[in-house]
Amino acid sequence: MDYKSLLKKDFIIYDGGFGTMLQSKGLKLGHNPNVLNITNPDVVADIHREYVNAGSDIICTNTFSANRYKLQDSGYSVKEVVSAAIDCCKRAVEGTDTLIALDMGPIGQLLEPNGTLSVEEAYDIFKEIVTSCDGYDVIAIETMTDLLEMKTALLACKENSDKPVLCTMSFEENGRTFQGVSPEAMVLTLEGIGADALGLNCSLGPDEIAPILKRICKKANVPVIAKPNAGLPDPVTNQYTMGADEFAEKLGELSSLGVKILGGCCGTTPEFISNLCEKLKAKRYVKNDVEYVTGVCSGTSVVEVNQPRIIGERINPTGKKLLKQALVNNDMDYILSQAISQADDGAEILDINVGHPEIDEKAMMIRVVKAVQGVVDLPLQLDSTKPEVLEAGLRVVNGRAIVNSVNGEEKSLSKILPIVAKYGAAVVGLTLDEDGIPETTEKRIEIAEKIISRAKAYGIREEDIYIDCLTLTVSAQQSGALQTLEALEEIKRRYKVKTVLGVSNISFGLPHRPLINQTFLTMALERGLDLPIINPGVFGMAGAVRAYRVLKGFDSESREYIEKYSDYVMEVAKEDNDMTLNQAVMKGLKKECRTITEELLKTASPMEIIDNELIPALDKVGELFEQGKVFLPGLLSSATAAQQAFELIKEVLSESNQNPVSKGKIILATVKGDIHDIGKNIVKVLLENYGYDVIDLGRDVEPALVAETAVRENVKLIGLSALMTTTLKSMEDTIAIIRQEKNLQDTRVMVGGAVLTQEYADKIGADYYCKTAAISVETAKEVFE
Amino acid sequence: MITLTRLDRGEALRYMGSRALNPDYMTNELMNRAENDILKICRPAYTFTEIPFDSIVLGGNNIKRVLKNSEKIIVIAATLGIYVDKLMRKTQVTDMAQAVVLDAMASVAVEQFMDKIEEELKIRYSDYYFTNRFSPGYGDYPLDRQKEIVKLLNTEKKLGLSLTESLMLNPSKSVTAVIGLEKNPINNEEGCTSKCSKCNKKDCLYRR
Repeated sequence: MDYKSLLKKDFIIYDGGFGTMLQSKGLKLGHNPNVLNITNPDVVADIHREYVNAGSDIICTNTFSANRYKLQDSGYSVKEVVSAAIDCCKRAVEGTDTLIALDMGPIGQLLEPNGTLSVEEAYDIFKEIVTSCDGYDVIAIETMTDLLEMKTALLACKENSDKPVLCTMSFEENGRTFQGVSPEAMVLTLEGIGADALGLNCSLGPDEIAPILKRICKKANVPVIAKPNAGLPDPVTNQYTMGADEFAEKLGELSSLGVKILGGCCGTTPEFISNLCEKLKAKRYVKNDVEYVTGVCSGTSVVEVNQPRIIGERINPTGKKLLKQALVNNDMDYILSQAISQADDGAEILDINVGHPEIDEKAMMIRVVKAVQGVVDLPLQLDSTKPEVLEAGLRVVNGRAIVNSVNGEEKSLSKILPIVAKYGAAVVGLTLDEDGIPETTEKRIEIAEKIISRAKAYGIREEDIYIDCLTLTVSAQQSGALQTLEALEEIKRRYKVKTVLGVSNISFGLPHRPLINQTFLTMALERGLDLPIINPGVFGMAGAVRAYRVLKGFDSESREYIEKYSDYVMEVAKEDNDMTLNQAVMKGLKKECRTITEELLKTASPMEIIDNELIPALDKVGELFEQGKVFLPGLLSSATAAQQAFELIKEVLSESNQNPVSKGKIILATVKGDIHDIGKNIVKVLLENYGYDVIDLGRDVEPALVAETAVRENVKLIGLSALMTTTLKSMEDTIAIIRQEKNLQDTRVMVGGAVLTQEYADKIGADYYCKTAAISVETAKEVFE
Repeated sequence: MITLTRLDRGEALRYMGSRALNPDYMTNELMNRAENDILKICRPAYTFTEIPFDSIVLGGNNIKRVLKNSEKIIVIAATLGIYVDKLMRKTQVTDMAQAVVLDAMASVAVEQFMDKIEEELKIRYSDYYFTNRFSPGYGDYPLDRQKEIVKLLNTEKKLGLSLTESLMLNPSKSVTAVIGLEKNPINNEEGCTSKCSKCNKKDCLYRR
């Protein structure tokens, strides 16, 4: 028997709980119950055999925790534990048709950005399990709560094994996993990567899973799995109370939702499984009719393209000097602030383009994708012409992304489409080819047709292809605007594809561009544009889409529109001609700081503004803080307000191609193992305010990276922070590496953090101990004077 | 089902290193917003179990003294969930002043949550008197016992709560604690309520 022939049965029966079975046989679970495969193989095989006899078509190896991380103190290797586990199963299934599933659970360490485990390392951990031995028929990935971890595990299976993969995640009663994953996000992402079956296990009982199961069955095209617990456990004893009959009765009923693969998790025993088999005998499997709606998702939020959706265009260096600078300087905060402000302004998907000749685009794509999904919940559109950049991004993206883009050129089609298919992404198809952008509507439609048929040949659904008919500048080519719209409309009429369009190009070279942009956008929406790529921060652009959704009846009872605009006042900074920049900083007024600086820049030089206004104000606030009259948040409010002035000065200088004002470069890093960097970020705000250029290496930073960066950037002062006693060792290691570097002999190191003391700072060889953030500013002054 | 309604601002100020009792105007505004946000997005969840006196989750002399007359010992894990951490990450990009306040208010929220859990337990174990709470890292109770607690309570599965290799609880606004239950009234001096002066964890983040 193999999995394919098993699918011909009405229902496939999984096994039930294992931990409780081990305990009932008198075994202590110990640190890792999977070690019992080696130490007590007979008992393990017996339990498997009981499930086989109870009627399980598939039994899972006792390897839920058999990963490198969880086995680290066990004295056994992954290979030893897994191969022993498979042997136990083999003994149990001998002479039967029962299949063996290689079982994998979560690693036990949270992935970035919630934890420190990288996607790349998680992949290695799963790969090690999958490739450790043969002898299994399918792979079961279970009890996942993080979509990125699940996706990474699935990729590791698909790339290193040809066995079918059955994926289940654990949902809570609110319909989401602990990490916020919804059933729809799970289906969308995992089906794309090739999960052979998917569903839920653990966490809830048959009563609670029904609504979640319904949602999965409504979306899933592959067989659906349900493996609940024996009800909810008693809160004190942690024992499961539901009986085998009740379980079988209730789960059996749920099969009618369209569930194909059924079994049990915690608290269930072979008795539960045999009762379930009995119950299902009288039932027939009914496959749901699933209506496919194309969509994308992040780890937590799904965006279905069933009405116009806004793609934010701001993370793209083309024509944006500050973003270019941020990319070159590795300034993640600027990029992240763009992501957050677009999300706040109404973007529903974010385009990410980091192509720039001076940077390693692939490394930057990985970095930006990881960072952006740490701070916003929006799905992403990865924008590059390079297949290797797109693939690198797709591997780390949480959820399902859009690839932007493929075009009608042969080399684009043959390189990009296989990647799109492999990662289950949606794809933007540009209607251009070797000959450039076609003049005529017909030719654009022709290219679209070519892209559609080629994509379908790779197994990409028509609905997942988003055709871009390309906007031309109307001032250069007036008939172009209408041709674009005609092509768009015709393609929508002929195919199930969606359409996407970058809008802002249309008005290039004309005065008052927003008028043209907004009008063109509205025209395009009415002709069938699904995904406008715009700057959502421009009032009329996101506004036009919202208004359109009201007028077309998408925004039911105008709810979204009213929520957005009922209290909306066009933002204007308060006119207060008497306020000085100094006062605005003291009061922490951000907008005012910006407008006053704008005025001042007409008459004063940047350095004058900094030295005569900003620094004295910051010093004064610092003094009040020392006296306990202003609290830390107040100090930071002033600092962030001053930041507005500094930003503006930076913009002005960069536009006139002058070098930004800098009093010196400082590296800041939260050391390896430490993921809380709020202290470091406080220091950063203050130092930047005093005119220092901060190179922020972030949190959980490798010691070597600090030294390397210091050498490359010729940095004279390094600030390290650690929050925990457990990570002080990393601080010591980092300092040791800095001291060994001969090019860093005159570089100074300052350290800070809750658990640090002067004594300890001295012991690990730091030059300065900064008890407070304010002292780090004093230290910087001392070092750079 | 425990819900939090108001957060103790005085306590939050203390976390922010302020000795004053009333916040300045700016800080007050930031606290209002932080309170709203936290109460809206947090998903408090907890689990507990009874453990024997020789359990491996315990350690250090302080705790032995505290629990020496205890008839039952309870170990608890509680978390505000991942959404608070997410919001803190985002806020650190957009507004550090708000982020600092959020961090402090969330620390207050998780402590208040623990207080409420204790109240519930006092109803469940109404025949008993409770010792002060004790958490790994306080006094001489070794921080590495977090590993045993997380494992024993299966917090990863039950709460989505795990431990980093450097022993930080994740989500970060989470707490584990041990409480002893006794039949006789307790004259309770040790453990962490708010008596920092009695505690020998001199490097405690929240020491006054």
